[in-house]
Amino acid sequence: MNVDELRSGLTTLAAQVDVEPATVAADAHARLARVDRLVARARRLRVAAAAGAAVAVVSAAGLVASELPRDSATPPASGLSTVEDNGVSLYASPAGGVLVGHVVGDPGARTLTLTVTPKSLDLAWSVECANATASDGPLPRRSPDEFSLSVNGHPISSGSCDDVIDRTPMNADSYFGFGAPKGNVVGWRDLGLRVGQPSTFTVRRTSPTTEGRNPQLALGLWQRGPQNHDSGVWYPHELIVDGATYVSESISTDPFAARRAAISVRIGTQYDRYWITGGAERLDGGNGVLQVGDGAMAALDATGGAELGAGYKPPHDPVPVTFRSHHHATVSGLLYAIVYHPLDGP
Amino acid sequence: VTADADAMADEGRAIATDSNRQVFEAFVVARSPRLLRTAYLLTQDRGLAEDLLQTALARAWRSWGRIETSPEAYVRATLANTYASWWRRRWNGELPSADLPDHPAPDPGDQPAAHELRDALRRLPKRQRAVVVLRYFEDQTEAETARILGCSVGTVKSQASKALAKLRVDPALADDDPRSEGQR
Repeated sequence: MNVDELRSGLTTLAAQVDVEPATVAADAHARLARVDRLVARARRLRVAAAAGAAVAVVSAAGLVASELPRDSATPPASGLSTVEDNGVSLYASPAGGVLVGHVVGDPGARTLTLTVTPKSLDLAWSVECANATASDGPLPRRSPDEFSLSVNGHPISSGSCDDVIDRTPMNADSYFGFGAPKGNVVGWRDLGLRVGQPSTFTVRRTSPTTEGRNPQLALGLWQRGPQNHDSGVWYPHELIVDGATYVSESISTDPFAARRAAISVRIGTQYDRYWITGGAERLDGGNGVLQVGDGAMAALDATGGAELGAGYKPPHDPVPVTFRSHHHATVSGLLYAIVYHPLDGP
Repeated sequence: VTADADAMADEGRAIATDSNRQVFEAFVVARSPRLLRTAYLLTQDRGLAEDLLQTALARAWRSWGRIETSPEAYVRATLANTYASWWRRRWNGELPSADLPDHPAPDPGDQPAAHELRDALRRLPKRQRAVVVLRYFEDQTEAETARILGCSVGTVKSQASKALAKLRVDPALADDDPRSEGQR
């Protein structure tokens, strides 16, 4: 295949996604409606957080779940050690991990750099950007700033700044390789990291400065804690949810090839709260939607996976973790559900 | 006087917002089919392409009044970078959604050649796939591709070279005709 053939092939392949000309306008308006819902949903999350409501719960996996079950466990007070930096907290040793580097800028700073010399490449990061000056006033109509994260000149991720400061300590919530330590190490190696050699992370605000707004950037880097490997799934032995450490006690898996799949997990009564994580991996043949209980849902991607969690207080009926495909397609993959209980129970 | 001034300021903002909205809606109607094509080449999946495009458009709308480049360039860059950040993380921070795309999936059996190219693209690392899509579908220059992906021109060149080399030897695209060898 030469370049001309590639160009032609890409055009042909891309045309598969076209719709009939008569439906282009209706298609665009349906898309606009969904875009508006996405924007409104993000705004509701910010409003809820600003009001101090317990709606916006961030799971240990870092997925914002806006519609958690009403009987979600009440978050206990945190006794975990943290590091304070310029008004921002970071967990020092979350779930057996170790904070290996952090940098928090002054409000309004446009660039942060952090140079670390890792002893291990099983690393996880977290980056935040919050508008410090907007937290006490009315929320602006639009998210004002965006940022990007790179290491050794290679982009890692980008995102929008929040309009309010998240007072929850920063935690190791992003990494590579579907949780497998080896895959995570490969991901970091691809970005030029080497054990014993310095690497430089850069967080940069990518949007123009807006008068009256002074977002604060923060970056944390952790060596991950122990991971379990059961039934083909890698998952953290411990989780931190709302300042409490949870320990995994069981995993259920279901290799499926269907339009729908479900696992029902029981929670015990020994502890006063449980956390259930549901996920799907190795999807082939399409994508779909994952749901834990009757609460939060997440779209899955076709070649990766996703995970989300929800808290429950016993006694409680068995909690379903379900997958349903888009387009009623038959999709194969591995569905799983993990039950966690508090480390310091009951 | 202050109240009047505030009211006028509010009215001015409302007019500006209405005007922006009309431009944004016209942009979505006119350009989203093309952008959806790009998203589809990146994701190889109709439903995910729609998710990716909607995410990029939502981000564009939140920044609409501050976009300094062309809106299409902004959305294209957001598509490429969101795609990269989605799939580099196990848990990618997507907003929970119950909305399902309402289009049937294309039948890959309809166009065998396209299906084979899709399989071959799927085997490329994500950054290489993004470079291929931006360079050979979007016809972006090496410099513009580098700017979109936040890397150097040299990286774009090397990633494109590696991607083309992989596509040439991909079994799905294998060509036994020796006459085409000179073009490779």
